[in-house]
Amino acid sequence: MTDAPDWPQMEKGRPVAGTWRQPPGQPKPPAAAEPRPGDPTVLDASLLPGVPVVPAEPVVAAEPAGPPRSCADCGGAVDADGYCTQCGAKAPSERDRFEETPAAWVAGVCDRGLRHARNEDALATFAEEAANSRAVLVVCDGVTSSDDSDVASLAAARAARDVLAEGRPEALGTPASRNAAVSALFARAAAVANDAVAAHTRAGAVNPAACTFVGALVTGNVLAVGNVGDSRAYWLPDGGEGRLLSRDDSLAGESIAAGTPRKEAEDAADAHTITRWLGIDAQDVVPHVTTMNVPGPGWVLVCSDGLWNYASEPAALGRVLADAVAAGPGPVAVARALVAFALAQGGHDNISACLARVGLVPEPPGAAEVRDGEVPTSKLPAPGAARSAGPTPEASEDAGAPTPEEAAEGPASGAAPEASEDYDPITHQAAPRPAGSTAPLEG
Amino acid sequence: MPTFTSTVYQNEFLPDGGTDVNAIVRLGVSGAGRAGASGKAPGEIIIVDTSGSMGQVNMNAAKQGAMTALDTIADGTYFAVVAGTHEAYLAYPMVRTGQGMVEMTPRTRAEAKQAVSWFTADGGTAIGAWLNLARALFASMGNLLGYKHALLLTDGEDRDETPADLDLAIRACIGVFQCDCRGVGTDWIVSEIRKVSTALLGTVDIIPDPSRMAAEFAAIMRQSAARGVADAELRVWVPQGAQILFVRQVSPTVEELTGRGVPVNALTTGYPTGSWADEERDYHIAVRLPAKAVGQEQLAARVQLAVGGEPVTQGLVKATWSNDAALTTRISPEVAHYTGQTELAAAIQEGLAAKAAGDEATATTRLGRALQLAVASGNEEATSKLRKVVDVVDAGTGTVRLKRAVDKADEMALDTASTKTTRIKD
Repeated sequence: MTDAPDWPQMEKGRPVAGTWRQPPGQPKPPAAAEPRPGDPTVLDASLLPGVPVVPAEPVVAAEPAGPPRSCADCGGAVDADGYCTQCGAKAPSERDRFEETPAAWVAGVCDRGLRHARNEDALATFAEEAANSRAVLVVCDGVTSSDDSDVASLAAARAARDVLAEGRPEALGTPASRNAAVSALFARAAAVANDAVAAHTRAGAVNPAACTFVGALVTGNVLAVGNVGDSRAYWLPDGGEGRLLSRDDSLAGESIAAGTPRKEAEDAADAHTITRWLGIDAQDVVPHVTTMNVPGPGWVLVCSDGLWNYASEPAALGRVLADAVAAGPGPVAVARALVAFALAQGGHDNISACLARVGLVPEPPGAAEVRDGEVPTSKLPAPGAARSAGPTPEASEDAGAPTPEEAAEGPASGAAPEASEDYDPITHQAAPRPAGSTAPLEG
Repeated sequence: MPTFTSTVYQNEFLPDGGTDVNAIVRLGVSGAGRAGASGKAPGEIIIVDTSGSMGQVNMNAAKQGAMTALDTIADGTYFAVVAGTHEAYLAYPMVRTGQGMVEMTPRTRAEAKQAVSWFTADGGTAIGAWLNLARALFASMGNLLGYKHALLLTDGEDRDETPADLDLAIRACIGVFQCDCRGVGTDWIVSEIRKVSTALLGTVDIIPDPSRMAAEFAAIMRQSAARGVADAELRVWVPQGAQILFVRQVSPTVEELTGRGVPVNALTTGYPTGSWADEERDYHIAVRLPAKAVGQEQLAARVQLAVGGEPVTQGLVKATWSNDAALTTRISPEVAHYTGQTELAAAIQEGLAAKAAGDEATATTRLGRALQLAVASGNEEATSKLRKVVDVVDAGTGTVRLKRAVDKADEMALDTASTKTTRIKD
């Protein structure tokens, strides 16, 4: 390297003033020494040699709107483009994986899984703060072969959740009226969810949006479950044998009802073809409804087939749940662990798991025995009317006639009006009610 | 307001254990507006070789060219005219102190043209000194100017300073101004001038016929005035633990950028791209990542254009590991095309260098490969220019013979055009 050329004279990267030279032989400019108006001869002080040019501060790109998310892999911030700003890992979108924890005793985790491009599962939860008080768990599984099922399933789950959260069928006086009210409440929840699916279906859709529906309503130690399709609700007691409370509307479910062993039926190629669903092409959206009294501490699990495919039998699912509880006791941790289990098994489908920890409230003396049964679903019962259908294979004894305990429980459970022909189980108002105060029941 | 676009072409699927991701990122600007239309005034410096070798014909053509360029520069632009020999002179404005550039007005244009008319061909060639003067003139304007551009005309080899002098001057000018370079006649060295144009984000070309100089200068000035987006930076973010293998502009010309990166932050590197008119440029980015498990997807690079330090568009380069060979063995046609165009540029330059060094065997092989690539990719300019240097035996296999009598200007034209690429055929 040689010395920099000595002309023009430079100092700190700036030319030293007074050093411009014109080519030899070029005529002298007229009155070069005398500045003329408009001549560029005024030297701005800021242009003097040695005055550093301060580069502008680098401008940092504006933070993306919304709460910053952190990367599940490295903890770095997730950019608005959906990838981690540190390790580049793809962050699941809010729709691909989300959690709900409405109260410390209730949680839900919904995950896209590993094989599907979208998360068409949806869940929605509600819970009052006091442990084991009131909670609603809803899962809707969008049908993959239909359009916009991810949008529709979420809308359906939330609509159903809102209906179930508002209803208070337990306030009724007699088991019969209570069961009728539960049945009507779930029917209304499914109908409103069905409307929500329809509202998210594009006109003229070749494959209109469709989804399943399963909801659980926890009121103290009373558990009510309703479903359309093959998403499920389980009662999984601590240390005891669990029970499947929902009834699959699927070809497998029909074979099982017809006597085929569960394993064989569920392994069939068309096992997952559902026979009922929510959507504008649905024929019948009245849910199967089951109620039971939980006898002791345990978990209510509401889930999609993305979970139960890997552990269908209540006993098998109970073992998975026990492992999950051992890993972390809170509902969120347990729900996450259940989803992680499904992912570890291959995550072939979207996965939803909603949990409520129940059975911790001491039962009134003599109320510990289970009284459950399926409520008739073929048509809406008249409000307060006694049910006429008998028990189903999955529903057990004594669902119909009120027992002394049930009869005794009614008045103690709240200040609700007595069940009567005039009472509306949806609004808990005496009929006739003001016109337009609720939407008409559909089903 | 300019609008910015980005498009990524890649095969994001990597086989199990795969680590290297290649992508072509096309960045585009539209609605750039005129240089200086918003914000600071633009600055133009015309640098004319007035060495003795120019002779009467080239000198007169250069004067015509410079005057046409002055006519093309818009009023309001700040400008200066530099006359270069073994020294560098400020021909216009005729000032000895202060700001070395003036605003273009009808009066200053007339005065500048008169100063150009006094040019006489005399003395040697020291291109580094000319660049130093241009840099000093721009610097004398402080922060007044936004877009800064120079047009440099030479006819000869840089004899009157050392290569180190030239390198030093070039390095000092990087980031200060952009420079388009033209050589007249066949006594100048393409590689020497390409060093200037490449470092200063400009173009290099030969003006074989002096009579075409005025039109060429006018075209350069018009193009320069259309660069309404000043000082854009290509930014490449890669994840922690990843490595940028290379960053290369591949369209409209091949420009190796890898070594020119400056860190923006721990994970982001910035590469100067100069100013933009309404245009599209393609970049080939290669990133090496730690392999992840099959089924995993991650971001391999964020490729942004930043103007004034602010990202204005972003393309995402992705990586997804897969067991499906049908996915992982596919090569992006755009990546393949530009890999070929890059090899074409290298083959031409290496072939011509070997020919100049008397190594006919290497020259024949490399130029043959160049012809094969040019024909296969439909690069008609390279094909026609190669055909003036070699006789083609079989284009398919790249079999050629060196022509016995080659016009030096044709060889130089092939050299300057070597980096020009075509876009992929649709």
